[in-house]
Amino acid sequence: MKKEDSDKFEIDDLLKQTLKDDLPPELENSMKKQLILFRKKMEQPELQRREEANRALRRLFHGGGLKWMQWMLKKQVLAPASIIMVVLGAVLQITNPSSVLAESISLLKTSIIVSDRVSHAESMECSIEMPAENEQYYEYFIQWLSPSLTRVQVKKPNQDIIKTMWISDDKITIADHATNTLRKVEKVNQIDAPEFHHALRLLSPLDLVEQMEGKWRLKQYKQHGDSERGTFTVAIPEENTILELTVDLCTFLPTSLKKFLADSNEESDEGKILMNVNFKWNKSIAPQLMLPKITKGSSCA
Amino acid sequence: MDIAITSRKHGVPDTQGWTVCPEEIFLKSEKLFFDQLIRPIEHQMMRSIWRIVRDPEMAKDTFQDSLAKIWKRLDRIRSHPNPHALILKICLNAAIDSLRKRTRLRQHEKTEPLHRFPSLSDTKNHEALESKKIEAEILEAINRLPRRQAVAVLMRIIQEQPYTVIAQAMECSETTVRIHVSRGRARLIQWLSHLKPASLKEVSK
Repeated sequence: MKKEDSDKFEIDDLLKQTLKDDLPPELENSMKKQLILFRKKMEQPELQRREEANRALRRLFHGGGLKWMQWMLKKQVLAPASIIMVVLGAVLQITNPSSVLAESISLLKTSIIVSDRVSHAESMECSIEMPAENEQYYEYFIQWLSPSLTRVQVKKPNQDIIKTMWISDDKITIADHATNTLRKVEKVNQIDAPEFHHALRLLSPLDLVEQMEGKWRLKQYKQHGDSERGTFTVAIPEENTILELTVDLCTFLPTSLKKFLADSNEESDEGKILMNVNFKWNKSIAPQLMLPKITKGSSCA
Repeated sequence: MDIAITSRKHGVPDTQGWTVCPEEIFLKSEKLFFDQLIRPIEHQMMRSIWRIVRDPEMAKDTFQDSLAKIWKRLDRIRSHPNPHALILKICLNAAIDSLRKRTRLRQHEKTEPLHRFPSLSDTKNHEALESKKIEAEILEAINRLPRRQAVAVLMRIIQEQPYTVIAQAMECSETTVRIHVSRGRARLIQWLSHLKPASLKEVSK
């Protein structure tokens, strides 16, 4: 055997023997649990996103993050840092009396809790009102019980319900109350009735969460004095609109949502409200409402 | 107002006009991904991380990092010619990252933490201490290798993968992999020559 080959085998053996395959059984079990959790997260992508955010936070306070904190607590670092912070504090006091940092942390914290509570809601009812400026505007009443049980009613302002849609196990049934007919479609994107289009964004709590996390740009969060309500102001740049999402701070669930044009404001320009949504959460919904049938003339709750 | 929901659940078109899969199909494909691509090599994944990291807490963290990376690269893994090899490479890369992070932390501390090695009073057997030192030196040597050489050497020696598979995982030619392995090995022989076999010592001279 050549000298190089023998060296090669020896280094290979050294590595194999030293870095041997002796995974402790308790660690193996623990890793298997991680895998089970990973599989669950694959089925629920929002869980994985939340886990990543949690891991990022944990890292700040463990391992490398902890070392940085230890380093930062050294006197040589602490003294100049405290001077800089005092100066910055003074500057902030002079220029802006409100605490920008506290505001942004509060905004972030509340939005994360709201997103979490909405995604874990057991039922959702929401009524959507559109100002009746022309024939295209409708009022909606959405009742969501589970991903496979949703009912949407649509009516024109000051008229009876004109259509009802039931979504169950991806089978969609649409009742036209004017003609007393039922029609079935396979997917939501096959719904050609324009009456339902505005409601498609809020068919479930997860739709709301997806919009909160994906398309909405949080601008501001304001708590209403001593009351138990807070309001997020959100921009949707691609639509040039502003949303105001009011949240009940006891349950951290949204109570209302108002949509404006970006260049208007609520007080001075009431006429430019594009959409007004009122939510009710975790209320019991009669299961029979979720069964497709034609009911004529019932009022929109 | 255009429909612009990005929900996979109801099969609504997104802003680009794609019709996204209904939830059922989406879930089936994710389950299939797990059962076909992760399940058959889960033991190899765990073991390749443990064999390099060799610290239970860090191994768990590294495994979690690997899973997060796999999650981010699902699409790439699905379309890869050898997804199993790519997943194992991701695990190795995460293990090397952890190794480097640990070295950086120790450099900050300057002294070796005592709990890493069995104390002399506790160690009845001198060999345990000796083997821990050898392990530390080998890991340090692997740490000093350029990343691609380290990955190629570990995939070849520890995971015992054929060169063709390593080449697919590293997305380079088989010749390049052979060069990486050969150079990596040569460096390890040079750096670790004092650790035992006489033949290795001669080479370093």
